Amino acid sequence: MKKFQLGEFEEVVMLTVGILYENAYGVSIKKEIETRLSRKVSVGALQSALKRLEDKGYLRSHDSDATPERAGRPKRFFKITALGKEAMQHSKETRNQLWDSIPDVALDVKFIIA
Amino acid sequence: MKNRPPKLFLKFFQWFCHPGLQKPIEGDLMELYEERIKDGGKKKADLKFIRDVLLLFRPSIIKPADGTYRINNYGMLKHNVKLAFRSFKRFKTSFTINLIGLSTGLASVFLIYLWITDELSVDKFHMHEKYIYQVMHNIHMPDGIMTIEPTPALLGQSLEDEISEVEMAASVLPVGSYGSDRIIQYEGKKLKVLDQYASERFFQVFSFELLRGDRATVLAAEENVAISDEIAERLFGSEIDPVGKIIEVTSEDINQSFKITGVFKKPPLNSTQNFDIVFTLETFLKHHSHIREWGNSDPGTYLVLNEKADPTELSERLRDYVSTKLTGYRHKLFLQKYSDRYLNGSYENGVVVGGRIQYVQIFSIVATLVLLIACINFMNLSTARASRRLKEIGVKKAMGAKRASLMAQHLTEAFLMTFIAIGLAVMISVLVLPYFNTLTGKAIQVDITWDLLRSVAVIGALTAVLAGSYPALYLSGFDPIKIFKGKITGSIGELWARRGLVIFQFCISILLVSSILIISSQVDFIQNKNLGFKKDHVIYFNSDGELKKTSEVFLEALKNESAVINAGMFGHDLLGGMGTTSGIDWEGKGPDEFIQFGNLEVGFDLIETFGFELAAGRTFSSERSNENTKILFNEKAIEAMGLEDPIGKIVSLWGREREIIGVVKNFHFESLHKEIRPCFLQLGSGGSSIVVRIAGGDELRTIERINEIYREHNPGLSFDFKFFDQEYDALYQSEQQIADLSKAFGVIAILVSCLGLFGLVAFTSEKRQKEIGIRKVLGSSEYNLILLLTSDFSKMIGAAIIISLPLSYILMRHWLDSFAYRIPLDIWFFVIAGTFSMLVAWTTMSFQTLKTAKANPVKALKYE
Repeated sequence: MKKFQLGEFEEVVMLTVGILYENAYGVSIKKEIETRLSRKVSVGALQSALKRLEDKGYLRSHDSDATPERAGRPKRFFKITALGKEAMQHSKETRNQLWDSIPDVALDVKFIIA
Repeated sequence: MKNRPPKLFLKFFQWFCHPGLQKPIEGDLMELYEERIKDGGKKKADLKFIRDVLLLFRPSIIKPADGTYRINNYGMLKHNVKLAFRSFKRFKTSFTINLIGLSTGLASVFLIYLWITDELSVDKFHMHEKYIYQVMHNIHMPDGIMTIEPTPALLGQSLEDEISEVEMAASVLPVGSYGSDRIIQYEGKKLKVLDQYASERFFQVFSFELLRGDRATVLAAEENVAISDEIAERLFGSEIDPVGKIIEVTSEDINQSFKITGVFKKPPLNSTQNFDIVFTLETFLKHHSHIREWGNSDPGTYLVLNEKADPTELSERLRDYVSTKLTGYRHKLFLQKYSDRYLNGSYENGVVVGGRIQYVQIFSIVATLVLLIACINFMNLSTARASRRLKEIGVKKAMGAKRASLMAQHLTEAFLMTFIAIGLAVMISVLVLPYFNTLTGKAIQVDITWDLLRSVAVIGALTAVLAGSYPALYLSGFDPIKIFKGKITGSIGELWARRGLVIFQFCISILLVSSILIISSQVDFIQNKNLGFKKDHVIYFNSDGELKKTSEVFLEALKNESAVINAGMFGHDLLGGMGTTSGIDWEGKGPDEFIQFGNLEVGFDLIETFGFELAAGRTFSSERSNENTKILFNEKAIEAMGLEDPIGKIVSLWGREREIIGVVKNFHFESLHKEIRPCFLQLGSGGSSIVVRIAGGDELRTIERINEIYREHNPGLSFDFKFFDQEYDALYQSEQQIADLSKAFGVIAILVSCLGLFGLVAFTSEKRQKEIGIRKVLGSSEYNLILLLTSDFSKMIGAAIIISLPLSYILMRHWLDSFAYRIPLDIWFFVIAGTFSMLVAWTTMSFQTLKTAKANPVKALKYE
């Protein structure tokens, strides 16, 4: 369990990187999360999450050639590694297991009026 | 590009960002910026950019402080420590020299540090310490201003009532003002005590620990008294509660009973006030009513000022305070902080001119110098050794070591060295402390406190940096290419730096040696100076209790002892602090003539007992009558009055006629810091002390005998006598201490310097082993070789002598000027100091040079 540590925001980032596939770099990831989950993502939070995931070995990156529209700066594209995929799967499975273990009654919340 | 994001923030981002992330993130920022301009205009985009940059300022994005690449600091440290130990092992001589030098230097500094802390702590323990000021009294006399502590007894209360800045005031008549010992009695038990008389506020102004009783009321009533726990124990034992007990005092001046209302803890060692018992000032005033006038000064006045008070301004305002109470009063007042008085207790012309603080300064400087000499040893030996380590440095540099890491390596060595030396120094200090205490007359104990540990750490770190920084800079600065080409042979500048340091070391040592010579001969001079009387085999003790009434019988009984040569009463002790008067008129005295005479009250036979020599006439004799109308002068007085053929002339003392019966040769009745003043001797009514000259040989038996007679005549009191010569020498205790301490430090300084010299000579002769071998093979004599090896160093020491002797001349002349009677500053002192240093240096060098010069050249040459 300790083996795959994935925070909530990290998981969102991983999933988004997966969605974007070939086109996952800073700005695109940020926009994708912002549109899909309608929540604000700062560059700082995103970049530190990306760095963390890369340090853990869940993502790998390569820099593109410099493009003029970015003032001559390269884009850094991210890809999910095999380890990353395992971690995501692990996270998904544990969640599913938890879901499955909840008795149906517990979710029948309409009777509960606090 | 038209739109640029805020430059400052972009720069800030570029500065803090981890270089591996910087470019792509910057790209993202720029892309977003462009987009945002299109969406909402430049202003909004700018703001958002700033927000993004600030939010990026977080640990995972910021570049690490110690560079981009993670350096294994721990590994480097381990490596450096290992190398340091290896170098200690390889160069054992310089390691030992450095260790001995640094640890002695550090130990000196530690001891002096303890001493200074102790000196500075005196009188600082009072709660109101910051606000306690003493009123000092400047007595304006024709020949200058004399500063004294006694002030009018009414001053304290008056200031407290009238001056708003004065929170509290205490008038205190210190121990010993009355002259003889005070004796208290409880149910027949008698005890000699150190008595102090203080006004009501005493225990509020000063924070002496009060074990029983209330600070505010302990001295409220006249017959109240507070005693120390020690006296309470001796008087009542530990069982009985002393509070409420009644004790008696029966003496000439005070004759009444007192009620104990408080018990205080004996004042600590770092208090200048030391007393066993505190009576109320009222008691003293009751029995000495003349003190209750503004014109008479006796008690000291201590004020507690409030926080807003400006002491300087108040001091100025109080200058003429007494004259507002007593018209025509000429003497002035000023304020001095109470806790400053211990270290700054010398006055000249009514102004504070230092005091013990000078000794504190001198010794801090001397200890620092000793440490500096040791640091120089470290520098010299490390840089001299450089040639042996050049290859190591070269290889490291070629492998890409930066200068900083090489410096770190050499600093590690210095720090490690100092660390070991600190350990040794602490051990030395602890071992030496008892001797140091005897030397300085202190009772210093080491309490391990954070302050102490911190100081030790700071001193150690400073030493390491001082000793290590120059070698570190020097050794790390070589050009590796030159090293491998063998082109570094030691630059001229470096050689001069080393020479300069050696010269500096020896300057200090020679300075100390010549100072020691001069200080100890001056101290000798004082101790053996012809004082005009014989101070050996003289004991004296207070005439108290019953003796006051039966002194004549007692003296007779003493004189009957065969081992007692003579005995007499005396109203003075020849150790300073005596009454003076200008109330003498003589024939031919001019209207403006004003001479201050010392007034010595003597008993019969006192002049003989002390052995004052007569220049003319006779002394007082108990066989004649009317001797109390006679007077003797010293030669100085006769000279000052301008009397010729004085015997038989009549002078008037305080309006009463006196016949001059004799003239005594000048003798020193005060400290040798002062010149002999005019004085007269008159027959005193009853002296405060008894002086006995005893035969040499079996002093202990004689004293035992005197003790028996004393107890017969004065039952119930212990016989406390003092040897006059010891007390006399104690007058010059601080000079003696200075002499002893400077001797110790001078020896240490020269030893440490010589150690360094030895190390350098050992190194050079080792380096020149082959050269010497070849020279020897070619026929050079041993003498020539020794000359070759020592001439360079001899020149340096010669230079040091030339530089330091004038310096020490100036310093010592200044010191000697503080004595009225002093030795002349002979050239011989400097010749001896110079020759001595040179000889010591040569001896040191000869150990090594002889060995090298005598060595078989084959041994030096066969490897190659």
